[in-house]
Amino acid sequence: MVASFWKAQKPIWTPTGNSEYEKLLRADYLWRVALEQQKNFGLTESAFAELKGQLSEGSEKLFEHIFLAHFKDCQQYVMQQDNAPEEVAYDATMDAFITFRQRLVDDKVKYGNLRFLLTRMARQHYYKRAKKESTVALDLILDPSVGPDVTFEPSLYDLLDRGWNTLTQDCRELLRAFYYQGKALREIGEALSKKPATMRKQKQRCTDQLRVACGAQPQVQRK
Amino acid sequence: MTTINKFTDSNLTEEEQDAIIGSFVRQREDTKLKNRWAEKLAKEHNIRRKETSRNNPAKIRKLYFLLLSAAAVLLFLLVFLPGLMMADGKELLATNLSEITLSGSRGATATDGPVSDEALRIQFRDNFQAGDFTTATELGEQLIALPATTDNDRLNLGFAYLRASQFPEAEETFRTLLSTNSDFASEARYYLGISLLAAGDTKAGLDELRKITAADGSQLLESAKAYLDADWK
Repeated sequence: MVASFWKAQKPIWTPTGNSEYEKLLRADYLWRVALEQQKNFGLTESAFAELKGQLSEGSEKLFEHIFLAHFKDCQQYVMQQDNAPEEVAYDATMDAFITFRQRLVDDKVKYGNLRFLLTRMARQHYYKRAKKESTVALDLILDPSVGPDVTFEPSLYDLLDRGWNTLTQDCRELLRAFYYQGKALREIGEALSKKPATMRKQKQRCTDQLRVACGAQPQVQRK
Repeated sequence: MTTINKFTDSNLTEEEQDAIIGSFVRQREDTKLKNRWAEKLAKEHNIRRKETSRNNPAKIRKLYFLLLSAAAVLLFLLVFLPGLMMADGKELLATNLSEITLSGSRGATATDGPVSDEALRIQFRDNFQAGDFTTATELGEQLIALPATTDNDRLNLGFAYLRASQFPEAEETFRTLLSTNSDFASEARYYLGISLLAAGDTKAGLDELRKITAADGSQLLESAKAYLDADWK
């Protein structure tokens, strides 16, 4: 898969003439391609589209292959720019990679200057961790369309985790696709050749199972 | 209402349920992903998270308390103890003046002089030892006027002046001894300093005592140092 990805990196068109003008044109073109790719972790626009496609299908390999190689640079950038302690810069970079990956899955990142975007995200995560968010805008790492995550006590997390482990594999995949990958029930149903109504009922059964496993009553159905 | 109560409440709305389960699933999956990346970063890129020091805050507080206590004690010792240990110069002087005794014979003696000289010496000594320093000074003045007088007589007269609180006379006597290159030059220097101190000229007195060196004898040197180290404020 990775080998096929690199084949896709070849430029679509390269000037081939031998006149001085065409040589200059070719050099200029190659320079622009190199500069663009440098800003985008060596990715061409088509390769970037392929990466997003793989992520949305649930494959992490390409993302990890490309981006983890730049982890150290990003961490050091945060350390240098914000005088961040090494371990906090590591955590902030890890958070940025998670956010960046999620934005790719949600198709909210445009090809252009991915390196700049990722490093800014890392710095914003550092500000958040260092509780400096009141002085700096965290526009890149907060997603108003999703809303803030619920802050729940560790005991509820443990309870939900125990309940999660009692769910069937089908339920876990359905809930993961719906809540984590952000897929609509219709989309999930299409992949499984099931109707949206069936998927809605299945999701309800799965969440009820989770609630019961956590010691709660099933949700009261509202019309 | 805590989130756990909210989640187990059967009247939970679908939106609330989605918010809680969604947060849980995202947190769980992100944690899984982070763990996997951390493993890959360590294995394939040799990048590891630096461990945060796990110092126990309570232990640190205790340590700080101990360090602060030690620092406070040290500060107290540095600031106040030298003052407490430092002798009061005037008290030291008063004590030493009251303990001045006559010097024994050294150098040229008057044993071969007329009997009257020796009789005068005996009277001087008797009066001094009896505490009649005024009479002793009068006898001493007569004694140093005699041709057979010695430097020891002059030194003892200086002591008598000191005991009689006649400090300018004591000062003059010790200066005379110093100027004659006497065998008692060290004692004369030391007691000249004492005379000046007793007369209230602290600076001049200490300056004289500062001139006492090891060559003047360890006893005089230590006594001089005691005055030099004393508090004269």
